[in-house]
Amino acid sequence: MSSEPIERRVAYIGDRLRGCRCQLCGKEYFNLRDYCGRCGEKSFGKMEEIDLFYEKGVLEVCTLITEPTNKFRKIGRFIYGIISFHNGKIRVPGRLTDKIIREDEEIDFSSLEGREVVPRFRRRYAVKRSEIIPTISLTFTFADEYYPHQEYRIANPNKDYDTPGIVGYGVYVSRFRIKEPFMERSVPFIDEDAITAAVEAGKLALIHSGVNHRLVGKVYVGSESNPYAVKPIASKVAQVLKLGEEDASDGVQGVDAVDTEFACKAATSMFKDAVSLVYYPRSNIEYAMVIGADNSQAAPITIAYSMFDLG
Amino acid sequence: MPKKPCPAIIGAGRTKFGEHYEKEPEKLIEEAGLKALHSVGIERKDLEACYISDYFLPLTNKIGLEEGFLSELLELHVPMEIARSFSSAFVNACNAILAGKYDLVLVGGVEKMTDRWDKIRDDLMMLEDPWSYYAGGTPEANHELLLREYIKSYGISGKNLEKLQLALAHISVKNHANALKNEYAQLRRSITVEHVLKARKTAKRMLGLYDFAPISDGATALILASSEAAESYTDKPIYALASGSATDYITFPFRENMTGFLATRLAMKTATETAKIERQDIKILEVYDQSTVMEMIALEDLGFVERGTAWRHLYENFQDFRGYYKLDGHEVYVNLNGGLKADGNQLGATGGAQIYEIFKQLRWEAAERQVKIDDSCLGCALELEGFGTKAYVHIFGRNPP
Repeated sequence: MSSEPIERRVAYIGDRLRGCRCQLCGKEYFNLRDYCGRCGEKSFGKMEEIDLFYEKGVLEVCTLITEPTNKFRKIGRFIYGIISFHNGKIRVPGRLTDKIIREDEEIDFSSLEGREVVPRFRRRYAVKRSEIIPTISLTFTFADEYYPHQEYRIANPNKDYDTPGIVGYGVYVSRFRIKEPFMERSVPFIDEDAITAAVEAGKLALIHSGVNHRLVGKVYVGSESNPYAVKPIASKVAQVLKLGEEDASDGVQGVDAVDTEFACKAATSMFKDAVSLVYYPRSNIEYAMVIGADNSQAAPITIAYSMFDLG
Repeated sequence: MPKKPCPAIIGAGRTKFGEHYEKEPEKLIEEAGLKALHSVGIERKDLEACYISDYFLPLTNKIGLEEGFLSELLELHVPMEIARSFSSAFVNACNAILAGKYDLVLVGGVEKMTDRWDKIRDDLMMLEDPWSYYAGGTPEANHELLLREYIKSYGISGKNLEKLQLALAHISVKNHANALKNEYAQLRRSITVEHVLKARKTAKRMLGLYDFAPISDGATALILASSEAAESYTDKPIYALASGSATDYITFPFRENMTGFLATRLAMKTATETAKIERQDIKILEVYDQSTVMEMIALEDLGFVERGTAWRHLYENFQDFRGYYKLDGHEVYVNLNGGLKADGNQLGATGGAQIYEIFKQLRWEAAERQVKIDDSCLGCALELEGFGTKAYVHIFGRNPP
């Protein structure tokens, strides 16, 4: 890990895009602040957090980057621009991901400007190899291109069930394909891995089920391609999706997160575990999340799926 | 003799800008400083204080205590201060002289960017706009976004857009032509509009290689004196009539308006009000053209033309260019040394090169590049730090206030 103190900023935006709003004057800021610059001292404690993770923004202006800085060299050519949220109240710089730009390609920037974009959780490439994989939420894809944008509305169940069941699911397959004679394989974009796929699938499952992310008591991730040597994927998923009760003082998620080896077999097995856990009356876990995510090491293929149990 | 105290520039010196792989930064500033001292005919022991500027020597050359290196080299033990930009050092020196603390001060600037060739763009971007850097931005991208936002806001399209692009190309050609006459300039070769347009086509963007200033090494130095002391050294002091500065948010996308620089507008307002001068009297203008767009935007922000119209004025001027811009009826020479585009862009020393040029022009010492001006003409320099994060505007004149 780089010793640059500024990396702390990146750690902050690494998980999800957040901002804050002054309750007195309504001014919005990207980044968390203790007070509003306009209202001054009287706004202390009056700043409410706004979450842009599930929101849609607009690409205001953009340009093509062909010679990126060293930190982004591996990404190659990409579109970079300014994205606004809430009718321009918040503006952030951002990179468009999931877009391969060929060297001879002519891009009409004005056709891209004004289009809606959604934030994504992706890897940010570092210059050197490091054991911690830097991630960033300042990456976006066009809202209408794939995985259409859906609002995350928390629904309150009006009925209790005795037996566990699936209340929501999410599937994420990366956008790119390799065509072979008898099959089609999916290939992740360069900034994707098992973690980002797991997060995307989990995000879609939360949206689909409308389950309050705070009520998820356990998260299982099964994967054969954990990019970390030691760290589990599940803890990162819990952190990004804010699963379980959050301890506001130090930003720790109060959720049990567990990784298993293998996606198919293990995720199925974990699914059974999750059912038992939810069914067991003393566990006090109402919801559990099971994710299987893989970024195949040998042949290119990425698939992730996620399920929910209800007790 | 001026009616009120006013700092005066009495001598100036600079190195050639460009790639100085074989020289250490302190050697560069030594060369510039000795030239400046020599131009006045004083010894370094006469100096009462030094104000030195460098943007990021601690990062590029791992030099932390720049003052110590200088002290060792010059065998001087006078007070020395470090600032981030030449203008910042200059303003601090002027303030010290105005306060009556010193009578003879050296202001120097030095930068050595080529020593960190492979990482310099990361460093530049991280320091000038960290959020954008972490989102994937490059130093060039902000200029491009500024231009696109400008075009969008003022609804420039079709034929007008072509005119704007041509005007920007001509700015680059003009600056290269000016640098041909500047013996110290980094890029001393003439280019044509076709070169600029071709580079843009290669880059597949609105701005290409010939729209941006290079990465340079170099140093500049000025000798500043109080108005009483100045007259004993030279009969042609150039008075620093006023300076203004202002600050803006570091993150470009967070700014309220992205079609210009608020800091420049505020700094110009302060400078003109303090100096009590009319903008029309400014004949020599040195602006901070890290890209051709920035020269165009500077003309608007400094108030020479209305905002959103600079491209039209420039296009008309370049139809038959006579070396100066005729803006709203009055003539102004812009970037006579070649600007940052062709003279060089060594952050800490840039402002020094701008003031050096004004100093030479106002004293009629600019040799080949000398333009015809009279004694009442004023010079104005605009220096920015970061991407319009800080702006400094200085007004200079032959006549004391």
